[in-house]
Amino acid sequence: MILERRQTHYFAAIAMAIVLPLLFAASLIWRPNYAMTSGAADELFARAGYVTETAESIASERIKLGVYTFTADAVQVSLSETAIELTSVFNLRIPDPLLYWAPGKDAPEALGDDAILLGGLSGRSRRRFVLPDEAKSGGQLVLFSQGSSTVIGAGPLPDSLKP
Amino acid sequence: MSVGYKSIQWTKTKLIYDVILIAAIALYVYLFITVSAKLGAEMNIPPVGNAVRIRAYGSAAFVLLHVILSIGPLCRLNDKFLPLLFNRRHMGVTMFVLASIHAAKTLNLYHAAGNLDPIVSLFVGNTEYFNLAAFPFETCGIVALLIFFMMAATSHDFWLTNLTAPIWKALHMGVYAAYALLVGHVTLGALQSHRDPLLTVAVGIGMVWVVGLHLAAALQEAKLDRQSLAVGDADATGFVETGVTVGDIVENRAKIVTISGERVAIFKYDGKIAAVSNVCQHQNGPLGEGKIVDGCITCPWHGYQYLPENGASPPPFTEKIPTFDVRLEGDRIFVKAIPHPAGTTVEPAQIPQSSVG
Repeated sequence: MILERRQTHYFAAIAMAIVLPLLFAASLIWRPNYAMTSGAADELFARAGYVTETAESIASERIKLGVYTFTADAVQVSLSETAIELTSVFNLRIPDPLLYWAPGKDAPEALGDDAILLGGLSGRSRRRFVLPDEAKSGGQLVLFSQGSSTVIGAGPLPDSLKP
Repeated sequence: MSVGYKSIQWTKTKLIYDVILIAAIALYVYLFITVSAKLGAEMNIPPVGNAVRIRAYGSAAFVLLHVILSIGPLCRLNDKFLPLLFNRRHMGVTMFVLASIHAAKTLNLYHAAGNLDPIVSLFVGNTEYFNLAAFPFETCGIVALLIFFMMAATSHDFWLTNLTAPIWKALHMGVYAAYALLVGHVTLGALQSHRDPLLTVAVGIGMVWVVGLHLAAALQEAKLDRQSLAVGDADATGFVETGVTVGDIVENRAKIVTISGERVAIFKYDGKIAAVSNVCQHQNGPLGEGKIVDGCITCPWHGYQYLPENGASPPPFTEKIPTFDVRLEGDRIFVKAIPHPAGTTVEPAQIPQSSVG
């Protein structure tokens, strides 16, 4: 290398020798003091509807909400309570997807005041939702994007999944 | 050597080098994903998804960058590592490809499902630039990737020839900034959320290794530069005493001296002494660390060749380097402080029979 490049390399090496260890040490000293994946987070995941423990499946269906296909299982979560567990077949590419139950036989094009929020969906993770009593008579499952404020798709609640 | 622009010249050595490189990367990614799946199954974590692939490609690029950055200083410290330097650019381009896969998969997984363009989402999703623990480390990675893109795009000899070696080399020194950014990307990213001491120690060792090697090589070079001879030291005829004697130089090899900050390679061959610029026209490699092969000074980096008498590459090649007048007084070697223009024929100094050996 010519002298100028050698000098650039010399100063670059010294700068790296000073800056990088400081950065490394600072990132360790000030790193958050909580574990991102410890068992303590399980309760938070459960509260958000993530399925953290398996339950016995009573019935299983494939349902389509718009163009999105889900595997839906009715599960017994306690002696008196059933729920449905939804897993998207493909990654959901929707901003902030939410699942609603809405009464009626026809797929709604917009959310009505009588729609009930069941919870959020994410990627391909398996999520558990407790259906309202009104769902015993049927109704629609509605996939709604909170990010784009639009109904993405809807489909009838199969008889086998009714609470 | 080259005759103007030429497409990539594949040789058996390059192919073997590339096959080993690709096989090693494929094995690394395969093992990373397989071991992650096995450990995940034992810990009841869902099957391998894109998150694991993102880590596999990202860590492969980071490890490969450490290898790439080690080659230069290792060659400065020990010439046994020179064969690794021969095809280093292919490693660099491969590393850029791995980093791009890592970035594309990250955008796809974490930023494609929102109501913003993924690139916009990447930059506005987190703006905690004044919070070290929550720092948007992705920005460091993207800026580093842009530097790697610039380097990969200009990696071909076409750009080297057109930009000239000093400018090309200056551009490619951006790799140090990119490395620093990537250390920030990893320490402010992965190390914040994964507290496994093994990962922390591995990143720390890698950083100490790369920085230590470059510092050692830089200090060694600076020491040589401090021994520079000045034009003002020249005698009335313009020659400076180099401090090198004929006996100091091994046959077909050279000793390097520094005159006014620039290095001169003094070669001994066939009973003669010739001096040329130490800077190869190709990538500014250190000619004085090469040897004379088939009558030509051969650069240790990529094998570019020059005739010692005139500093010109043998026909049909066109590269030329400056030459220096040489004078012997007994065993002592004197070199004229001012070089001749590149490609100028000079008469090598004849070694007296009494000094041979």
